[in-house]
Amino acid sequence: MTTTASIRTRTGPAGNIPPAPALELIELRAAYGRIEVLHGVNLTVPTGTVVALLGPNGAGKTTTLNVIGGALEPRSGCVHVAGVHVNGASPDGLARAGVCRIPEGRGIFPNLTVAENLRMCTYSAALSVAEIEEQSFARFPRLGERRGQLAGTMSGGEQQMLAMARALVSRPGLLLLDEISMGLAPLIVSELYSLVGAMAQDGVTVLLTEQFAEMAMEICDFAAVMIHGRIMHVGQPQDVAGYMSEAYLGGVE
Amino acid sequence: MRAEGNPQGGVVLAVAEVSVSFGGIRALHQVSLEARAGGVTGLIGPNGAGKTTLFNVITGLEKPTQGRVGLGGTDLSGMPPHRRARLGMARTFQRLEVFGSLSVRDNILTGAEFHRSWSRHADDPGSVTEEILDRIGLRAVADLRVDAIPTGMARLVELGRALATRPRLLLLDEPGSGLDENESEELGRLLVDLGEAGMAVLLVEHDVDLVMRISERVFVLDFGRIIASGSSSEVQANPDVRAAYLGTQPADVDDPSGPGGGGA
Amino acid sequence: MSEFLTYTIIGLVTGCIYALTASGLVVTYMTTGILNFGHGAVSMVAAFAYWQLTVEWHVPVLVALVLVVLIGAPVFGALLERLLMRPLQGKPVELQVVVTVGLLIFLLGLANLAWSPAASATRTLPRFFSGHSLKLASVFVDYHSIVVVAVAVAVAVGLRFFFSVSRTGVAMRAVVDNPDLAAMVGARPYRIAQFSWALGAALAALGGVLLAPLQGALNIDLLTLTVILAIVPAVIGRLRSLPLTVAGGLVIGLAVTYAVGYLPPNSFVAKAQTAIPMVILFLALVLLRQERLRSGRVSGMTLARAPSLARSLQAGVLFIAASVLVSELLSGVNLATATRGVVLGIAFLSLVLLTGYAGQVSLGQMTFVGTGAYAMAHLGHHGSLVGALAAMAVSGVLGAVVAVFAVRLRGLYLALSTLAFAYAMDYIFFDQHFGPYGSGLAVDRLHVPGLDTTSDKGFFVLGAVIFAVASIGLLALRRGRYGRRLAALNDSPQACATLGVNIAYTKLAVFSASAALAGLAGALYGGQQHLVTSADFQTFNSLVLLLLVLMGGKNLVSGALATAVLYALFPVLQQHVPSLSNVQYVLVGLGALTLGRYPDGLGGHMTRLRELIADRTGGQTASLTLEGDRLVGADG
Ligand SMILES: Nc1ncnc2c1ncn2[C@@H]1O[C@H](COP(=O)(O)OP(=O)(O)OP(=O)(O)O)[C@@H](O)[C@H]1O
Ligand SMILES: Nc1ncnc2c1ncn2[C@@H]1O[C@H](COP(=O)(O)OP(=O)(O)OP(=O)(O)O)[C@@H](O)[C@H]1O
Ligand SMILES: [Mg+2]
Ligand SMILES: [Mg+2]
Repeated sequence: MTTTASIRTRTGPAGNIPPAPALELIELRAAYGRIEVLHGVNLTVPTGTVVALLGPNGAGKTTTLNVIGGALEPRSGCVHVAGVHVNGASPDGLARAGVCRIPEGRGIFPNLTVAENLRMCTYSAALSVAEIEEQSFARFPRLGERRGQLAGTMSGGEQQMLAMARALVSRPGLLLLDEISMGLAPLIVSELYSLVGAMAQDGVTVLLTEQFAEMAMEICDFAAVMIHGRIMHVGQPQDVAGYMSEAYLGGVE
Repeated sequence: MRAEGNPQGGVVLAVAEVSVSFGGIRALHQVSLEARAGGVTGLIGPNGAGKTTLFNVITGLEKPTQGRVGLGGTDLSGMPPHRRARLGMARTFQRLEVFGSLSVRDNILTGAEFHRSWSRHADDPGSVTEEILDRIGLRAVADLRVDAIPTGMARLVELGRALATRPRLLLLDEPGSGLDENESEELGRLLVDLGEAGMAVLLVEHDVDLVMRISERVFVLDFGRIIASGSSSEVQANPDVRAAYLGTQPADVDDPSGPGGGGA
Repeated sequence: MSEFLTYTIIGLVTGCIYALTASGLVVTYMTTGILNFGHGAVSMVAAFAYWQLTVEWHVPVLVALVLVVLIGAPVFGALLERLLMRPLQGKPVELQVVVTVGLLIFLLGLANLAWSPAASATRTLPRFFSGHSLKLASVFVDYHSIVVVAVAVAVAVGLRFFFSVSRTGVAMRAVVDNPDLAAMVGARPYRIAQFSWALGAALAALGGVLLAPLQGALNIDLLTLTVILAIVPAVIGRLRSLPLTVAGGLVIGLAVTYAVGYLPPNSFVAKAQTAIPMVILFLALVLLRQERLRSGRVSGMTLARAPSLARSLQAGVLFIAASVLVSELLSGVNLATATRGVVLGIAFLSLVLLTGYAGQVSLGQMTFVGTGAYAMAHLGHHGSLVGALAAMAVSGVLGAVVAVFAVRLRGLYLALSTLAFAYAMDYIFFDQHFGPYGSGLAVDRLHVPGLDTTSDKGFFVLGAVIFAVASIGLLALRRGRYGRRLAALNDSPQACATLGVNIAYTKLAVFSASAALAGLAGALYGGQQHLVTSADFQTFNSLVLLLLVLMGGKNLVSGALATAVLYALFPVLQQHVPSLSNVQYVLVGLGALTLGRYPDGLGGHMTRLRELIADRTGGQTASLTLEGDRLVGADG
């Protein structure tokens, strides 16, 4: 396999190579059926950083995260997690290996109670059920009040909190967040972002997507702009903000 | 952009003292609000405040334990959802309820045809559909199946479908979530236009900038109660609202924070 | 008093077996979302295998138990998951139903091959600890009954503990809720599903082994049917509550036993008492409403594009011309089977409308065919048109009546309510009104001016014409706004309601129209057969009907035709290759089993072939590219 060979040469020779980045995407292409959505994505997320993947509706951000998380096979290109080639790894294998993905929309089990949802976190978290509940309820008291409620009957925002609780307790190596602010009250969004910031401080590497850049810009180290399945620009948040407003106003091809 | 001086139209939607509980949880407690023709009314509040529940009560999907809902003077109590719709209300759903197996165009067309099937004053569904496709900018994706388009766009499809029934009252549950900045700006413009054309729009949205920019009046719901209502600036300045919802930094408000704004 | 006690004990023991097998159903349903109609067949095969081991091969009882219940059945269950059920998860209800019905038929076929029913009377299983019994008050209870009760209690307690306490128990329910997310949190969804199928099969086997000795001589059909009744307590438990399921099992067991014991013999009620569980099922469905919550959005079903009116007219004319030709070429038996093919084709079309277009599943369509035949028999003397109209009217009204009760239900629950209705009709109506002792009902052939329908040729052409007209009508409907309305209703009833659609009325209308079409098919079917018996319209045939429609492609008129032709051809083939008749079940079952992988059926294959050809010939038919799709604001 050419792909595996190429990793060998990357990581193989001894010398003073810096540690592999937490995540590296190389010429990644992916498609739904016949429709190609990612047309060669290159992106590096250094360990311990927060990278925001920004871009308009339909750009392919969710698709990118799906590929990284193992839910969608790429057509070509590679995904390296901490230097390891993981194309073709199963989503559950990746999850147990420390890649935590919070999907777009509601990442919850609607017919399980809040407590049972949290229980499911024990598959990837190293904590006990009691510790998981304790930490989650401390962060999101509302969840504690609704411990026995079916998750599917909770409000949209409460469900999002529950989904985020998993990110919190599973202490992943790589955290993939897809539009966590969607449908959340501003107060909660800023809380969630400070949570993400705090997790990053603890050494978690984060790749997050957003359409509204503002909040994300405050906590991210780098931002990448994706348009039509390609990364068009990567840089410090300030540069990217400039690029974005230009791109949006000018209408990028 | 808010049409500050516009004289507001008559009350289209009147919600009077509505309460709802689920088992032990009180989702709504004596909520009263109104939406007038000719403008956007905002409804904001923290997650779980009861906004979606209120929409369900208004559209007849949920029965209130107490209280009444009126549309243009007609009491809707006990009326099933489809009869309410026929009186001129349409809504979108926070959790998408699109017709996934149909194309974008057919989703809107179906809305228009439904309208035609119960209204004598409906226009030709085909032309209504084409007009709406242009109006909300979905022409480029008109022939794609809705279950294959991104969430944000699917929300616009729901909006288009609702508009196709030519409602007097339009209830929007977070139409902006999943849209990018450009699109949500565009959405704001569209809603203002709809208001100017005489429609009553009740907008639930967490994009506070958008709500504040285009709403004539804003109601704030917290733990199932209305805690404030008034113009955007009044509401934004209200300390209760800040504490419950907006957070400490007021979003783009430059008036000194004072205890202005009406409590409920 | 002691009589009462005896009945009560028998009832409780039967109830325990229901509870046991129903728990197996609930376990697999809860964790995979699939209700296994083949559950009863698994029990049956297990009982036979156990008999084979202990009685024929003299394997010690304990060893045989371990081999059957703890090894054979779980391995079989795990294989089922791997081969059949995995691709079925999240698929439409009708597909899940039909594939498991396919499993049922397949296993029945296998069992008939392996254990010829001719020798059935010689096969008996001894009860456990036979000869020993215990005196309880004034009655003797044998040890077998005590074993049954003890096992049922142990299993119920064990399962309850397992699901509420163990993580795997929680994960099993999580997997069905959102399998993608289950993988995302790090659970192994397939392994969990596999485990639950293994557990379900083991419970089925256990039920079978305990039940068989109580039924006297081993009987393939009886064993299977008894266990199928486990659906009733499972539904009473709303397919997720094990305690309620157990309670339901006991209620059914007692109700059936008391009915046998106390109802006056020879009355209508006594004849109809077999329908009791199904009546309870129907009530349970209508009274206990339950909707699963879902996250995110459902994806719509795939719909092939309907051909234009011009094309369907062309095809219709061609079809009629071809059928005239065929009628000249075929004769005798072959023509008769061909006629049965087109006539049943019309019944297929009624399901294309109901299930394919509107997404409502009917597991009792044959009932409406039967009431149509009944109306034709009584009102269609000398082929009067009144009979055909009455057939449509009677079935149509009956369809509406069912719909009145069932409109609130969706998906599987709706399907089960039609099943319950059909079963009840079997016993209450068909068994009693189709001539004394089921001798049959004579039906005249529909007469139309200008066509000699008393001749087999003429009647065949009449059937073909009606099939063509109904097809063209359905396609026109599907292209138009009613087609969209039905698709919309299927995708989101809630949205439809808030757009001003009276969903109850719409569902009622489509149910009624579909039933009327089935009724017409029934009138013709009766004419074709001259004499119809209740066996023609048994519920089981309804399941096969749905199965055949899905094999053709549920929303394709062409698929209905394809299966109709196959159906008609099969007996012809069988004539030439007699050994086929034995494997017929196995073949039909196998056909249905492939549906899990190829859900669009034959019609789907044809469409794909067409697309492939179009692709090859350079057409850029469907290769869309999303490049440059700008959204809102592109024009601003
Ligand atoms: N299941 C699917 N089948 C077919 N096409 C799909 C599917 N999911 C996504 N797409 C298409 O892929 C493209 C990229 O979608 P994706 O969801 O990755 O975008 P995104 O950047 O996450 O957008 P958003 O900001 O709206 O979430 C879109 O054009 C969409 O129509
Ligand atoms: N069927 C139900 N059973 C139990 N509780 C429910 C049910 N439906 C809603 N609730 C509760 O009622 C409250 C109000 O929910 P609602 O969905 O109306 O909130 P919301 O204001 O729309 O919030 P969000 O902005 O997060 O969507 C929530 O706390 C929710 O958990
Ligand atoms: Mg996305
Ligand atoms: Mg809501």
